[in-house]
Amino acid sequence: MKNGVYVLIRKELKELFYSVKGLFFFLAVSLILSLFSLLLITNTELSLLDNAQALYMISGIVLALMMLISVVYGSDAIAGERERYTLETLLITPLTMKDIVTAKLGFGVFLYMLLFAIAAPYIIAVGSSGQNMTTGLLYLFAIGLMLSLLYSAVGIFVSQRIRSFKNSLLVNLAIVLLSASPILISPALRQSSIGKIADYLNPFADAINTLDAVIIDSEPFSMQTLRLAMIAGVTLIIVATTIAGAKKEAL
Amino acid sequence: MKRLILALLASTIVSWGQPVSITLHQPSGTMKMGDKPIFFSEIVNHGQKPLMGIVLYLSLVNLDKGKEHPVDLEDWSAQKAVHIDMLQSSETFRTTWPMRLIQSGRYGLFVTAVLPERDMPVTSKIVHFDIAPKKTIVPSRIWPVALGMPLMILLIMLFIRIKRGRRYD
Repeated sequence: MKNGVYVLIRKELKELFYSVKGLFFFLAVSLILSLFSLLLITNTELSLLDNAQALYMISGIVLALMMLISVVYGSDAIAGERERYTLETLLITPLTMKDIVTAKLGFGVFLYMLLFAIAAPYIIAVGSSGQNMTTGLLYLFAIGLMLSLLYSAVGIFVSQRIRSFKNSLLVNLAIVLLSASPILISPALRQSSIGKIADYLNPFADAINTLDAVIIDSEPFSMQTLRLAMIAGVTLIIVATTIAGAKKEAL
Repeated sequence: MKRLILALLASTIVSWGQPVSITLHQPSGTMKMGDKPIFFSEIVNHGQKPLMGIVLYLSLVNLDKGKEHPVDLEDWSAQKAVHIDMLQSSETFRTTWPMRLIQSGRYGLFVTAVLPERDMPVTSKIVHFDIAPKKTIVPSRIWPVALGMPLMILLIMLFIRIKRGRRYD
């Protein structure tokens, strides 16, 4: 039912591009990145940062925004359709629930690509006179792609099991907060063996640490394989679980 | 000449009186903004007794002509002071001082040791070095993007609004 999946992705695209509300989120993203970029040149302390540091910071902001967009979209994917009474329309099509979930995941990845396209000019403007700009962009794209799939899958998984959009969003935001918690803890505390294991097991921490390693410390790819494998592995497991566990919805 | 001899004699007597000596070493090569050189210091106990509770701290002075001033190490160094519990007689204690070079100019760096039972602190010789400027974030490249991107998205939103009306809102 590949065609059906594409049709559903096209429907989501239309809803995004033809509605002012859909694009408002991306205006907000652009304003956040503009504010950060302007702070870099107007704030005395931030203006002292070297390019690599600024590039790393803006990459972290892009990942955080990606997480937010993915879970908000994921939360709405099924629970939102159910609340708007549009899920029934989808269910009477020849599409199976697995197809619907796959299409929603595909659109979640597209949203990240759109976010990346908006962020890329900022990243180039901030980091082009420093080190590792191209490498940083490539890593950010690849890592963001995997994480967007992961967080969209988590969002959809929760959205299918919790009936209201509001509650689904709350649960998903709690998951985001939990996975982003390493950045709230000081790096010194995370140097303990438990901290290091927790960092390796958490895909978001892996993403942040990989960007730090390649952008600031110029570490080669060979030193990132364990962290990248962990992100890819967790993403694969969560996506497979979400698609395989797509429940049949009653009309 | 007499004054010079007296001054030399006085400084020698002062250094003889100190139980410790400190040397500060700078990394080789030129330094530029954004670099993270590691300086290191060595403190030696010349006395017969062990010394307890020594505090070593780093000081940085900007020596640009007409703008000489002490520099707040807040952004420059994560390690500003070191506590040595005990320094045995004839023992040498080595400390590394990782720095992050924030601004260009001519600088002087030195380490001071405070001994709890002494009235006079002991300082190392001042290490002089130059930090070459480096182009970091370029404002002329950021302004167009920071203003242009939101404006472009806003224009797309307005265009959709005019073209489609409220159909998908």
